[in-house]
Amino acid sequence: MEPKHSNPNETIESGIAYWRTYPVPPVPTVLPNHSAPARRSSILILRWSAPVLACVAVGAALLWPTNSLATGLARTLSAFDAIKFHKQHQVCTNELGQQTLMSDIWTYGADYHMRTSGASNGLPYPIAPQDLWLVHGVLTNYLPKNGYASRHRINRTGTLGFSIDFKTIIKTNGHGGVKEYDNQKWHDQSVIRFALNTGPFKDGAGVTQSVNTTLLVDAKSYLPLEVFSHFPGQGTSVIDFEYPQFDPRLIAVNVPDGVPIYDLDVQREEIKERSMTPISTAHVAGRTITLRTLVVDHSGVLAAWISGGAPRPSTARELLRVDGLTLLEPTEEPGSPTWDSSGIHGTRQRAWSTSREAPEMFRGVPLIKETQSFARDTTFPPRLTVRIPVWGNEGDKPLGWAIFKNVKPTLTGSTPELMWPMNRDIFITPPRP
Amino acid sequence: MDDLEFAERVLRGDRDANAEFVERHYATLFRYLRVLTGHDQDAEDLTLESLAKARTHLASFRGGSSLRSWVHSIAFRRFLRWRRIRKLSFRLTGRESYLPTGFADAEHGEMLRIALQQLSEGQRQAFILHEILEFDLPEIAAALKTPIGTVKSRLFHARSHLRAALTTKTEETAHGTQAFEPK
Repeated sequence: MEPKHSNPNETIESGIAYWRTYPVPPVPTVLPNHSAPARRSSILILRWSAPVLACVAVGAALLWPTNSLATGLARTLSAFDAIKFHKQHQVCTNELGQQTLMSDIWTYGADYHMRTSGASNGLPYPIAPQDLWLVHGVLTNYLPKNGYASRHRINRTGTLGFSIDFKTIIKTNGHGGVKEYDNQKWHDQSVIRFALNTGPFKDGAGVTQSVNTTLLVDAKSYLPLEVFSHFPGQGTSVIDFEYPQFDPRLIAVNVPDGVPIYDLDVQREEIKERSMTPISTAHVAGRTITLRTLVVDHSGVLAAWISGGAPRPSTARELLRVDGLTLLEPTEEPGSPTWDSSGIHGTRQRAWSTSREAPEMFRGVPLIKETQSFARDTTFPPRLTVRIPVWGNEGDKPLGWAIFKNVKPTLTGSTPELMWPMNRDIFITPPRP
Repeated sequence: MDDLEFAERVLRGDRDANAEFVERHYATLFRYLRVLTGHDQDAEDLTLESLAKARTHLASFRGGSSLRSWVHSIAFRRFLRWRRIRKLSFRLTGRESYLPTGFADAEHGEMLRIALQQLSEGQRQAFILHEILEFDLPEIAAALKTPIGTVKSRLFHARSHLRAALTTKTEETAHGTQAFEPK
């Protein structure tokens, strides 16, 4: 557009007039003691880890490493290590044969780019398309459907960081026995077939699991071509490998212009600093409950940190509520051994043990977290009225509910990614060196 | 009633005085921080933070300057802290949505704001406080803790530099050599 003024003095005066009359938001009637951050953002780990874990990593995440690898497997691992750039294509299906996840991963040394496609069917909840990059130690997560991205620095290099990493599959499977078959044909190609059987074993919920994995490697180069895994009662995973010529564009972070990128490192520091100042307090059953932090993301995961209450009993059913938002009904009873990694029902199934989750001591303040996933209600109003269950020292029924009205939450793209990076609570005080 | 008396009323917990304290400074603080941060939400957050901070430390206001200068000097320090944290990592890349006051006016406002970023901190503060928020020279001197003569000098040089920066920008935009986008 051609500007109205070409004279810089006129531009200055016009600009001054613009800012002198720039619209101001309504003046608050009450000045808060604590102003909640109004940063916008996006979630990651839970989003992709759900389908990945559900179909592939069940075994790898819970199994134990073999003491030694068969010679053929060691040679395969060595050949794979020598290739810096490769691509993996993975398709997961459930027991009914319905596709639940499809992903491509381009790996270049310690860096990678993972593109996950939405599940076409077979899952009770939608999996959003997602791009994930780890480049020079910075993890970038882009959810095209949501229109947000987030990134943060992680102290992890050298592996994909999740269980579809080929090395992890090799090293953690086959505990129950490895068989090697040579002179095999696969798509007219000479291959060696390895059968890696693992199990039976009991997972963390006490359920007996087993994994049957077939690995096909090229007979000459020993490079892996395909990994097929069957998780009885759960589904299958097929990973195909390609070894194309390196193309840096496939690894480069590519978030479109205009997409907000949320800086989780900055948000974490802000949250930790602000959590020392109470947002609001409520008195329930003789206890003073102080709301310290309220975080919500674009995929419906809400987390609150309070002080003043007793830790949450592991067998409790009641979760925090938000006025006006519909709760998902539990599909499993507390203590159910069914493992649901979706993040939707997971918060209701923490009863693998009967102990209480101890509060995190952060700068001398014991913090208790309460979480909830609304899933279907992904649009939150800018201010929330939250009802947080208050627990006693005994029993798993709440003594009452602490109600905090009109709270402005910290908005982020991914509450788990923000608050529990690499499964570590940000309020855990690091040990002194 | 002078600023010191007013501050004492606020400190005593006078509800009307508290409300007036917010009402009196909210708009100028918001516009000040909006120009500095370039974001509505960040400006709103910083405005609230600054007002909360100012109210908390109101007892330290001695009346040596106007209350307005004092509050804005607090806001400026909050802004510096905000900028330092943001500099540590990636910047949010959210685009601004232009208001229906006219695209050309908004464009010149943004051009001026971006040109202001090229000035030294002292020149930028003096210009914003004087030209946009219409502070008088003694108030600016108090807010920036600098002599009035220095303020005058900064204002003079600020306008010269802005003129030079906007001449280049206007030419580029007018000839279509560079798409104009807010940074």
